[in-house]
Amino acid sequence: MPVTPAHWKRLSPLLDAALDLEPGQREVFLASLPAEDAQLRDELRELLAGREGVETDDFMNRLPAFSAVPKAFSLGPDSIVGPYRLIREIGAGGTSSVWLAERVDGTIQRKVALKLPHLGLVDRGIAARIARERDILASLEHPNIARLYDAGVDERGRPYLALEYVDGVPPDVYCRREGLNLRDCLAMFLKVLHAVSFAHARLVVHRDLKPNNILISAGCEVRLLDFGIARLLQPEASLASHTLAGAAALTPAYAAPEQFTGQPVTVATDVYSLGVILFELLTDVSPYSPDGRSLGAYEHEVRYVEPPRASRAAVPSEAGELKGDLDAIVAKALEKNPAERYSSVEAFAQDIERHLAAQPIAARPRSFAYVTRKFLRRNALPLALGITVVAALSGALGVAAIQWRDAEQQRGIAVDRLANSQAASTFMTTILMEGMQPGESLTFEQLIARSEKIARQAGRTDVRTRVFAADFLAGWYRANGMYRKADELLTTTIDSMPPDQADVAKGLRCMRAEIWGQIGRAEEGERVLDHEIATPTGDDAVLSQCLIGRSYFAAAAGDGQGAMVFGLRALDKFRAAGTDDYYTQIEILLGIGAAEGLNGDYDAAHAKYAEALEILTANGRERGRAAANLHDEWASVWMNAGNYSRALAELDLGYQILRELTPTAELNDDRRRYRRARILAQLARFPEADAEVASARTLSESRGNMLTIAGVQIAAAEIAVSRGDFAGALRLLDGAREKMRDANVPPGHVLNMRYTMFRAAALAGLGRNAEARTLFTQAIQGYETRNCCKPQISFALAQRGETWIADGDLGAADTDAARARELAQTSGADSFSRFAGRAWYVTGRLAESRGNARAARDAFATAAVQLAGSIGDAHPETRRARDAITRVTGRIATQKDI
Amino acid sequence: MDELSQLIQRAHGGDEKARERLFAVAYDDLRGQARAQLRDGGRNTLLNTTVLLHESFLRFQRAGKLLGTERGHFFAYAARVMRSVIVDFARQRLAERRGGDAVHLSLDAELAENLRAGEDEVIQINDAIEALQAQDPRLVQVVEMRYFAGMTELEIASALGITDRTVRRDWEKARLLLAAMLR
Repeated sequence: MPVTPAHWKRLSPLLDAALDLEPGQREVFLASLPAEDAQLRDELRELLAGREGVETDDFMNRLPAFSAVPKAFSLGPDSIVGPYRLIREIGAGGTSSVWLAERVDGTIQRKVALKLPHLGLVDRGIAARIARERDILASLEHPNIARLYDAGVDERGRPYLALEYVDGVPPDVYCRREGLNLRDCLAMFLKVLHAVSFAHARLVVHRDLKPNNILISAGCEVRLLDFGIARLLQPEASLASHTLAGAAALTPAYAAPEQFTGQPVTVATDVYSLGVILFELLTDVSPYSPDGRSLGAYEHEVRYVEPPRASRAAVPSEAGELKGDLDAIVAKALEKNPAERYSSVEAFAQDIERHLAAQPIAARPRSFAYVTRKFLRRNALPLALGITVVAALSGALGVAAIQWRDAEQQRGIAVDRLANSQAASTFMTTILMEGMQPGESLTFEQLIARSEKIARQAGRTDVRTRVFAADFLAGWYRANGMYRKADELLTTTIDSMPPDQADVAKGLRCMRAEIWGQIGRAEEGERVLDHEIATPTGDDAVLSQCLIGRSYFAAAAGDGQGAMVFGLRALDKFRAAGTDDYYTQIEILLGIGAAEGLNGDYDAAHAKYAEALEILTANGRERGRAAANLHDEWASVWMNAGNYSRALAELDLGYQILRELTPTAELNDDRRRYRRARILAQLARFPEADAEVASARTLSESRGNMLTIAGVQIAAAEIAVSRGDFAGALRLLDGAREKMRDANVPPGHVLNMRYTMFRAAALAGLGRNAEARTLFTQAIQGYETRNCCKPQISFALAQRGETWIADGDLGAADTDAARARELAQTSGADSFSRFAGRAWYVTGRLAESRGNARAARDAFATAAVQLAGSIGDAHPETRRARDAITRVTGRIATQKDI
Repeated sequence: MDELSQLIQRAHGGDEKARERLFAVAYDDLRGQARAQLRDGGRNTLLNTTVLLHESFLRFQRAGKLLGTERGHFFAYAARVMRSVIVDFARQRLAERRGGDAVHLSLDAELAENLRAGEDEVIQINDAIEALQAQDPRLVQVVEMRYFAGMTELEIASALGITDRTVRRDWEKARLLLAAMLR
């Protein structure tokens, strides 16, 4: 009979007992086991029988040896890789070797440069990644970009990339060899910039620009190699976490600071590498001279050491030509902070063109005034306050300012990028300084009122300043649950948008659609988002924002798969947009995390939240509004996973952060309160739960947040169920039905599912078992069609199982209990779930009904542990499970006596 | 080592994020080392997990003292990483062997069969303890530490905060159970 770990929990102590005995006594011990444990006895016998073998034959004493590395992995001329035959090696580097190769089947005559990454650097995700990105890269058709013809993974798992074969030399070599003068050399460099810019417009960032990837062939033909391939070859894990560790391709001499620190790679990264290349072209030396060539040595130089002016580094005879413009251009490209560099390669190119045409350039020489200005801008708000205003204002504005800066960053849609420093500073100046008398203080409410004024001044204020204000305000309203005000403001702003601001308007429409979900217009909002996603836009950041909104809608409807798909697309577009706007990145991570939570993959979900928190922490924003929001959302993942203690801790941390930001303001977040009420109810802290429900109800009603009103009502019913007031719960649910109708809650919405669940639970509590079962079944089917919410299904199954027991159908109860246990499995030794607790509880009740007191005791014990860990010792369910243990243990003792 | 020291400091201070980050660094470190060793090894690659593990631990120890429970967590975590690296490697080997033919020609049939058995054993044991995870997480931990990470019973005992007698018993039981499951 095969041994499985199914009975291990019971087997294990018996095995201990047996092993404690002398070998000769074990059979006696086995024989003494009660008859109902016959199966266990057989398994024990089987285990003990293997003992001699295990002890003599060294079983598992050390890891076995692995087989040899197949020789086929060494390459040589005539080796076959995928559809290619290798001819000769034309290059080898740290990450890959490059071979001249041709097609085996002769279908295409041309020779290609076949790039073969070293296998050790290849992870298992590469095939999928190549399949995903090959088409994008292959579509980069530009006279100055070497084509990617083909890429794939051969039958042995070896990736290959077939690239256009280019015969040329790096630009510095070319300029030197051909004796080009500065002008011609710059003209050649411009071709490089235009090619890079072309690729950026197609959302491909090179990531590894260096002279060896830029080949100039006879006649000054420029060809860029390996576009986007660095990303293709980067291990998936490091892509996701942005860590350098394990990154396949990084050439330290040309890598930007953010590539060392693991910040997102954007078009600014390519700008930086091009800056280094230009510096070298102009001066023949590297801007950095680290001690040694190690990664660490470069990292320090690149991150902290200001490179010299190009004119200083060049030989004196050439310095004159570089002073001024070219110094400034190179310095701007080499800024440590990506945001300070040229915002695009195109802008970089334009400055060089203007220089060649002797027009003024955009990059400024680094005079004192320039440096000061830059410093001011970098520290815009705090400094403005520090120098000019703070002396006159009270502390209230200080708080407001922090909150304001945070809210401003929180809404990361394209508006944010558009609202460049000009719009921002107009907004700031107007809002903070206009009409301020010395000694006067500005309350947060006044700040909001002033923002409103700016946002609504159609025609009189610069449109971007207005959008900036509207965006900030709407974000603030939303964060505080004032959805109707946000909706109204956005509508006014959208209606007054000039036609040339189509992308901005689109972003605002998506933001508004997202808000509609909260005020009973979910279906309409979803339609708008679908439409906006389907209509083309040039701005990936905007599209990403619309997609993440759509993902939240799917999540709210319990559609975990949909939420996942939209979330991943949003991430894709976000990366394509190449912004370093980490607030949007965080929203996306949270969206994907929520989707994973819905799909029951809690470990993955927690990882997303942790990653998002890490990004915030790295940017010093771990106590900001976005962080507060993150902890709130994290709380609901813990809730869904059935760990209410953790959920409460997260929710309260979020609240604490908000309190730090606004110590005095009334926090008007009704959703937070009702979420907190639900958690408190699960933890059996009923008076506190009641208080939260009451205030959530008042707040949501005063604001007309229909969805929240319905949610609060259902939460009240949930609390009634938890405390055993089933008739009260039914009454509350009857009221909830109306409120859900008012809010236009779509049939598949989580609120509907919750309604069904608690109605079923209330009916079961009243002994109306058949009715309860119908609803439980309905809830289970609802979740199943959505392919989500395993714990919730388990919860419904467990409760349905209890109704079967009450009606005496133990067979049906057994089926439900078994599935409930399976679906409620927890992920690790230290994670507890109230759903698992309930599943084990019904299992115990079943065993008890069958008169198997031992099995019942074991099941109740497991239930008690799970419940205590998730909803606490004081919870009625925990106590009920513990009482059950005592009850059945008494019976075991009695059975023994007999 | 700068970042590492800081992380350890912050982890001492109860900073959960720092602790998680610390583990992420440990993961990269161990995984990188283990993969490099597996890659470079020729025939009969035997991953010297014990050495790897302790080297990695020392790197961390040098950066800042890992305190009692952190030390235990580190080893438990490291053993899990080892397990995943080794199992991945075994799977990859099996897949390569299915695809490639060069090796089979150069080895006699019996040897090839023996070697293959090594990979199979690793994968079977991995699958078996996966099935055991929900039932007895500590037993799984002991198997990871002893079998995959090559730690001694005493080391395991101090890492898990249990007596070495308990570890010995756990190990004995695990071997009995796994032997029966694999039979």
